[in-house]
Amino acid sequence: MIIDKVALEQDRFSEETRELIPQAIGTLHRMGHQIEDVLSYSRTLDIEATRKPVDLNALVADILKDLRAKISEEGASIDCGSLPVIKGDKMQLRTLFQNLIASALKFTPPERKPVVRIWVEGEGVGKGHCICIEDNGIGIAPEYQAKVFELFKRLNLREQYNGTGIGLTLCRRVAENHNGKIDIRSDGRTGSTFIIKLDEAQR
Amino acid sequence: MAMIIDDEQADQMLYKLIIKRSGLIENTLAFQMAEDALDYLKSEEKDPIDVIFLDINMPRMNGFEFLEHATAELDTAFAKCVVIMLTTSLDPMDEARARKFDVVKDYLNKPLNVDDISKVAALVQDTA
Repeated sequence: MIIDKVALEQDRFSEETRELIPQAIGTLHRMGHQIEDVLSYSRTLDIEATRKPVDLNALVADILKDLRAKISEEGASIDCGSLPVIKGDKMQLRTLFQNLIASALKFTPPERKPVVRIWVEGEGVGKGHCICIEDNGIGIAPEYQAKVFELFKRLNLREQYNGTGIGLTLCRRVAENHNGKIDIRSDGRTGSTFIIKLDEAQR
Repeated sequence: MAMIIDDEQADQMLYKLIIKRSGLIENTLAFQMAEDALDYLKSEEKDPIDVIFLDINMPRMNGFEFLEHATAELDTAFAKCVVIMLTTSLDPMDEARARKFDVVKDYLNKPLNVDDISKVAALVQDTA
């Protein structure tokens, strides 16, 4: 990046200007992430969802493989029960579970090790599927539970928990594309459970 | 005294730099969370605030919610301040929404520059 070349010559700048360089680098990285996230958001919405059988066990196993470095770095433990095969769009469902599992790992206070549980509720009852993802993180206070799904909405300072405020908006859209929705259960202190309801009924 | 309410540390640093360069405002008080700024404005021993530089998109309480709370819960003491919404927002609705508050005297886009500060200083003079 151009800014790296600037940084190489920082000895020639005043102290005041020198202090701006790491800020500029940080801002550029952040903008890069933001653009990537907005693009991924618009692409997900742009492409018509396909409806093919997707094995969620394999999907989650793939995601956990991707997150392996993060999981071992955090000393996280992840317990995933047996998941169903559902009809849906593999790419979109991957985005959904990837975002929710990554969030479950992320929003843990430094003194706790993340413990994430994934299970299915009421399988075989009715038509749809209900998949729960529980974490032991900072939780989401009831008054903010609806707000977190708004585009760009964040609840924490960047220094504490980084992010662009796009992930959960995207998750909600994917659930809606699958005739479903996402609910949150949390006391705002000891963790959150995201309840993903996907309905197999065709539109 | 100017109050800055913005969650981004990098942005805060830039405001302070520009304000310092303008030489027009002596003291600044900065908050990263709008709730904290609101608590300060409610406190007994607060300094009189000439101008608030307010960001819109912030975690938890955003700029609009701050304005709603401040106008409802504080009266004249707060209304004397000039509130400027600083934002990178590209949504014209945001500006319209900001201008509905009497206390919002101008609406600026980031990044703030020295000319903006002169304009704000003139506004503060007018309201005084």
